[in-house]
Amino acid sequence: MVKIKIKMLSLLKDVIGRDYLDMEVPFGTTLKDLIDKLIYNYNTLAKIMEKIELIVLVNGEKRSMDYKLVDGDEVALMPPASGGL
Amino acid sequence: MVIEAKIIEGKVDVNKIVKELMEESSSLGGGALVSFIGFVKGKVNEHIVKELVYEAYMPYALKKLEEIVYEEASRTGIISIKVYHRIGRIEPGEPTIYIFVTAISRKIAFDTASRVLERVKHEVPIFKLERRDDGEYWVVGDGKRVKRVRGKGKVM
Repeated sequence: MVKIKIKMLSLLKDVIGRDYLDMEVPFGTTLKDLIDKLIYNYNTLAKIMEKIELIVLVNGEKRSMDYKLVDGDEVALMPPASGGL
Repeated sequence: MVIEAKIIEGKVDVNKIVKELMEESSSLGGGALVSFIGFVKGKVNEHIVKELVYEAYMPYALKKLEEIVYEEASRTGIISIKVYHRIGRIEPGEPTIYIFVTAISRKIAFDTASRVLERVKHEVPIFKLERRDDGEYWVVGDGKRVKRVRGKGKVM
């Protein structure tokens, strides 16, 4: 199994009720597999994704949905930024 | 060249920064300084705003902010760029972001300050929650507001 950390930002925090989620996923799990699993576990995530373009970063970088997760990865889910004014 | 990019909780001394930048830039051929300060609105959609709560995805937010400032500072005619983005709870009328640009001409300074602002707003993972008299709203992207409902899985 691969141990990863999921970081939720902005309104995504309310999907799970906290900032972080620690998960173990099977070897070979892709980013797409992970998002699908999160949608399955948290149905409000799917509703949010219908209305807002979700940004997914792995260790702060954009990755393709085919990216295979490795031990220690931090996957961050966030809406488009709202910084500035 | 003077470059600085910071994510901070407090405020900065605007007068001090302007004075220092003008002094430092003038000997390097600078003759224009543009400063921009974004501040919290006290009213949105006819509702009173109590405060904004800014959060940054660190350390990546700072990394991206530095990347933008370095890229923009490398353009011809730019002498210095300083950007400070505040996080935490900020009340109406209080500053949220400061941008200072000095350049060899006003056009370059204005254009660069504007471009830096737009890039920060769209590229740096900083998010805000708007607390107002009719509830709490997550502000996402270009001003879209999503009402917050407390409790696990209760968004929207």
